Parts: sequence; C-alpha cells; structure tokens
Amino acid sequence: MANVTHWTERSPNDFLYSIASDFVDQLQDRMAALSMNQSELAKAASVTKGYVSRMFRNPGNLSLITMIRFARIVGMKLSIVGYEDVSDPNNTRGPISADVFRKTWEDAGRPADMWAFEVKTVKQTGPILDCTTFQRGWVLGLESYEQTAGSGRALNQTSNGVMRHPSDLGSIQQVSRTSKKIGGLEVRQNG
Amino acid sequence: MARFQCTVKIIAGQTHGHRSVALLDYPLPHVNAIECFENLNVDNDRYHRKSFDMWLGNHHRPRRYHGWNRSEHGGKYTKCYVFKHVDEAERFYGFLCHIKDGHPAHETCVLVLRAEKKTWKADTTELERANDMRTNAYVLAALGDPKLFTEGEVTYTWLT
Repeated sequence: MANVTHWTERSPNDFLYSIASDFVDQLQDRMAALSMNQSELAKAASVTKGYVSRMFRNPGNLSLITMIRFARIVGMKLSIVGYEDVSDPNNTRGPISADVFRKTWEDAGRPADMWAFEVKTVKQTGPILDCTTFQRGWVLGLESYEQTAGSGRALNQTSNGVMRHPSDLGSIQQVSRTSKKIGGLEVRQNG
Repeated sequence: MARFQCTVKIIAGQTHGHRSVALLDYPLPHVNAIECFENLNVDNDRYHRKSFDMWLGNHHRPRRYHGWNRSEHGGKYTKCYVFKHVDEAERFYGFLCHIKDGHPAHETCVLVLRAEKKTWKADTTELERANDMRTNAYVLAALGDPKLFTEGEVTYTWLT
C-alpha cells in the first residue's frame, strides 16, 4: 500500500483552508435558512459585497475574529474543538468535518455544559411502570435507569431495560427535574 | 504501429471505506482531468479537494457537486457526476462506478474532463463525453486493476 497522506497534511495553510471552508459552508447554509444574500450580509457587517465574495471564494484567508463577527450576524456561535483522532493519527483522511461535531451536539440535546454528562444511577426498587408519551403533569415510574443531573440527557433506557425511541427523548428530558420516591413508586413532575 | 496510454489516478479516498475520487487520462483531447487538476492554482486545488472530502463524507452539498436523476435528460446521465467551483465557472465532469475489488458497495467517481460553464443552462456535450468513457473498454481495463487502490495510480499501454 502506498503511503497515503491527506492534502491537509501538506501545510498548516491547507489545514486552515479545510476547516475554514467548513465554517463558510455553515455560514452559507445559515444565510439560506434566513433568506439572506451576500449583499445583505455585507451590509450587516459594514463591509463591501466584494469582501464577502472574496471570503466565500477563499476561506483560507479568514481570521478567527472575522469568523466570529459573521457568525454572530447570522445568529450562530463558534467553538474551536481540539480532538485526538486516535483512529487516524497520521491524518490520512483529513480533519473531521465541523458538521459532524455540530450534528453530534444537536443529537445529544444541545448540552450547554458538562452537567449534562454527569451520570448517577437510581436503583430499581419495585414493579415496572413506564410512561413515555406524556407532555406535562405528573408521571409515575419505577426506576432503574441512568439519569443525568442538571438538564438531563440520558433518560433513554426504561426501567425494564428497553431503549426508548430517540423521538421520545424530548419529552423525557422535560421530566427529570423534579422527582421523589413514594413507597417504591417514583413520582416525577414534568418540568 | 501506434501506442497509447490510459492512466487512472486516485486523488481522494484511496483508503476510504465508502467512496473514492479518481482522475482519468486518455488520448482524446477533451479527456483532460489529470492535466487540468495538476495545473490548478493553490486555491482552486484546495477548493476541489475540500469538495472531494465532503463527498467522501456523504455531506449534502449540491453547490459543490451533484449527479443527475432519472427525470433529467430522459435518465441518460444517472451515472454521470460533476464537481463544481461555481465562483470560478469551473466543472469537472465524470462518472460513478463500483470498481474496488472485493468492495462492491464502494463507489468511485472517475473525473474525465474539465470544462468552463458560466450559465445554468444544461449543456450535455460534457455529459456525453463523460458517459462515453464510462463504457470504454480500455478505461474499464485500467479501472479494474486491483493495483489502483494499493498503488494509487495505474497506467495501461496498448499498441494498435
């Protein structure tokens, strides 16, 4: 097998071009969602349309401060993510796309901080009763699931060990704030 | 007795699990993908390589690349594909195939020719040319060489 190296390994500028392109693609997606054209973006940023055009044409020249500036105009935030790609230490496949990180964050329920990942276990104490389809009010359930503190992410397993459908997670997350045990039954208030 | 060469070169995804992009060189004046790609300026080279990465990763980016479905051109070009650099009015046309030995689901886009396109109006000349190469026996012989994915490039020479 020939020694395969990704093009972003040629120089830091190639790497920069690749990740800045991800940002520009996301910016263009956001502009499309807002029905905003380049002229309107330029006006909002107090720059010329030519400047915006050049930015889209050659994202490799983008500075971080410029990215933040344009991101905020269209209502986006920007994070810099450093990660160890253990399955590709020699960079044969290039950086992981920003879309992958964004989608993973969204699928995780858009956690705001590390509280969402703190896991505590509640032991099962009685018969199995599970409710997943409510939207508000009181819920009865007996627990043996991993429960996240704070915003609550991981109520994805029912007391009988059956994984809940991801579409249920939205309503599940809402009930994790208030709960108390009453004679083996856990009573949770939708929250 | 004349001799001619057909070269196929993997430009992206040589070790990728699902997709790869290859460039074709063939002794026809309009088959110029390798020559044109190797003469791109730095920014355009980066732009297209980024597009290849996005396609390998199954990102939906019709501004950068797309194919043609059955409802277009009578379904004649459903195996054709294009990578575009809209701001530069530049297109690389090619075709899709499954040539990786032992990996029938692996999809390769073989880019055949570069063309300039400044309007949205469909011009099927390039599509026809790309499609012709898809069924060319010499091209198929080169594409079928298992060394393509181990060495990254194969060149076949014929005497006619």
